[in-house]
Amino acid sequence: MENPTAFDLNDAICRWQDGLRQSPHFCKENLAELEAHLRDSVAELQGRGLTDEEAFLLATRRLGNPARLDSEFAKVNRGQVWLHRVLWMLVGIQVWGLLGTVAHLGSAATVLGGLTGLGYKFQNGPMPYSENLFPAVFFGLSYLLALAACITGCCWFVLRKEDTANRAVVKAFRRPLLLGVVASVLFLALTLCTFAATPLMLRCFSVQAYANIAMAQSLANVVLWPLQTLGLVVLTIVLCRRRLRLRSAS
Amino acid sequence: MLSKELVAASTVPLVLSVLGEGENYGYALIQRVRVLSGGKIEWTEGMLYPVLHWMEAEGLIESEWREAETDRKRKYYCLRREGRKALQAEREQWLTVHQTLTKLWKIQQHLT
Repeated sequence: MENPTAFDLNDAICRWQDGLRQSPHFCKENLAELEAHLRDSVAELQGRGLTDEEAFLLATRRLGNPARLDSEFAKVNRGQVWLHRVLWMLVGIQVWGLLGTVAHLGSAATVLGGLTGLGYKFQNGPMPYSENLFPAVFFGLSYLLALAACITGCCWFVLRKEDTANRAVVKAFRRPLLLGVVASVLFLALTLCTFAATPLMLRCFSVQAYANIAMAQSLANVVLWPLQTLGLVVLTIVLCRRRLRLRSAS
Repeated sequence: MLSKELVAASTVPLVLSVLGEGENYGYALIQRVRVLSGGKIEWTEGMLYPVLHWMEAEGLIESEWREAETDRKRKYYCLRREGRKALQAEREQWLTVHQTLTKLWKIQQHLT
C-alpha cells in the first residue's frame, strides 16, 4: 500500500513556489530562476546523503526567508509592483462602478415597482420638494440596502473558506486581470442598460412624471453621495490604521 | 565569518570577479565564492538574484536562459564591457584598502 504521508519533492517545490507567487514582487522569470537554484541545491544535498525532505528543507532555508526575499525582489521590480497596484486600483474603480450601477438599477426598479403596486402615482406636473421627499427617502434607503447587500455578497464571495468546488473560481477572481476584464464587461453592459432604461421609463410614465421621478432620485443623491464619500474616507482611515498597527507589530 | 556590512559591500565586486573568469549561473557563482572563501563568505542564497538583476539593469552584466546538461533551464550571466570597467575600478579600490591595511598592520607589528 502507498504511504499517504510520503514526501513528494515536486509537490513541495510547487507549494513553495505558490507561496512566493502570492506576492506581486516576483515575476515569472524570478520564480523560474529561484526554482532552478532550489533544484540544484536539493540535488547537491541529496548527493551528500540527505533524504528528499531534509534536502528540500535545508535548501529552502539556505535560499532565505520568503518575507526577506519578497522585500529584496520588491526593490528591483519596482515598475512591476506599481503596475500591479495601478491595475488593482483600476479594478477597484470598475468593481465600485459595477456595484453602484447594480444597486442603482435594482433599487430604482424595486421602488418604482413597489410604489406603483401600492397605488402611489407620480404627479403629471410640477411637484413641490416636500411631496417629492416621500419617494426620495424610498430611493435612498433602497439604494443603500442594495449597495450594502452587493458589498457584503462580494466580501463573502472573496473571503469564504475555499473548498475544492469553488477554489478554482475564487483563485481566478483574485487575479486582477481576469477580475478587471469581467468587471469592466459587466460594468459596460449595465451602463448600456441604464441608457436603455430612459426610453423604457418614458413608455411607462409621462414626461412630467418621469421628471418627478428623476427629481426624487436627485434629492436622494444629495444625501447619498456625501454619505458614500464619507464611508470611503472612514474605510481608508480604518485600513491605514490597521496596516500601521500590523507593521509595527511585525 | 564576515560582518553583514562587509558581505553586502563585497557582493558586487565578488560577482564581477567570478563572472570575470567566464559566464556562470547563480547557484554555481555562490558555490565558487563559498569554496574560495573557505566557507567564510556565506550569502543568503536567494538575495544574490536581486543583486544580479540590479547589475543587469545597470548594464554591467547580461543574461541568457540556456538548457543545462540535466535538461533543466538555467540563467547564465556574463560580463559586459561596462562590467569589465567596473571590475577594474573595484579591483583598484579594494587593493588600495587592502594595501593600506596591510602596511598599517605591519607597522603595528613592529611596534608591539
